[in-house]
Amino acid sequence: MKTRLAAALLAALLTGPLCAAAPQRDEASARAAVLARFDAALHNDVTALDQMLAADLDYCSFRGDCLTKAQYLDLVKSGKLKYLSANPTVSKVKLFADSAVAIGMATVTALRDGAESTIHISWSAVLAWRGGRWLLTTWTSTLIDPQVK
Amino acid sequence: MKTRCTTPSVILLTASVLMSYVSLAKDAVAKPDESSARAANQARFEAAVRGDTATLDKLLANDLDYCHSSGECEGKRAYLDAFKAGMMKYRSIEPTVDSFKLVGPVAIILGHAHVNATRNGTDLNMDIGYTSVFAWREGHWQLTSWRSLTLPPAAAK
Repeated sequence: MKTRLAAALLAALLTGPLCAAAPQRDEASARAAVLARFDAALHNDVTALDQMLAADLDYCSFRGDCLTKAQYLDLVKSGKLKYLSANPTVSKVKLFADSAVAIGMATVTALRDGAESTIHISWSAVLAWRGGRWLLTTWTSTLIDPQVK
Repeated sequence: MKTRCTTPSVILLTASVLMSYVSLAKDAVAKPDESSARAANQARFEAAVRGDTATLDKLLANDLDYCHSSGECEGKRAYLDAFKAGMMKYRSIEPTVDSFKLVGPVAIILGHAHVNATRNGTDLNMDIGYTSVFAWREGHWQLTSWRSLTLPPAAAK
């Protein structure tokens, strides 16, 4: 009896933290995935970005140009795009079966081809739930006109 | 004894009616695929040009986030109210689809459009890039997220 109890306690101790660590397909994890992506970009962490971006990513900047995952990662790797600061806020997250759509705002300071600029953007992100985690599959942003608000 | 003959015209008429029923049945059962999502995207643009708020009401999801090229986002009610009040009037929209993705019951469409419109009394003649996200609900596609940005003429495709 004591052996069974000890085994059960040991199993609970071992599996408890694992269960807690497993990401769930919910609003909180989608929100966290969006913010983690900003953080990885800010730290030029190409390895982390590679894991967070879907292979079929469409990364459309406020300029209207859209990059594939490989093109976006190359831009960060090459140092042509270097984020200096990013202050994102997530306004809303909508959950669907295997995807989530998030919208928000951000103030981003970056060096692009050596030129520093600070921009205020409104953004939309579509995340796909694949392999037990959220991957960014579509990113679009719009430059906020300072005259508007 | 009378012999009843079926004339060719009756046969043709019957075949025509049957084919119409088959066609209607085919249209009535929409599927959540690329073809129907592209059609919904196109229908939404056309309804906007017609100012057809009844059709827009069906094509727009209640949880719509409609983000304009200014970066401002509004909900379905505010968007439709602007239409009804005449604040937004489209004369033409010429859209293209550049990329399409299905993620479960969600369709993501990226494209460009040339838009000729009047907003709050100001004439607009511009090229935009857009992202439409459609959700499949109750047997049809509904626009749940829209974002556009104004493109310089050289960037427009």
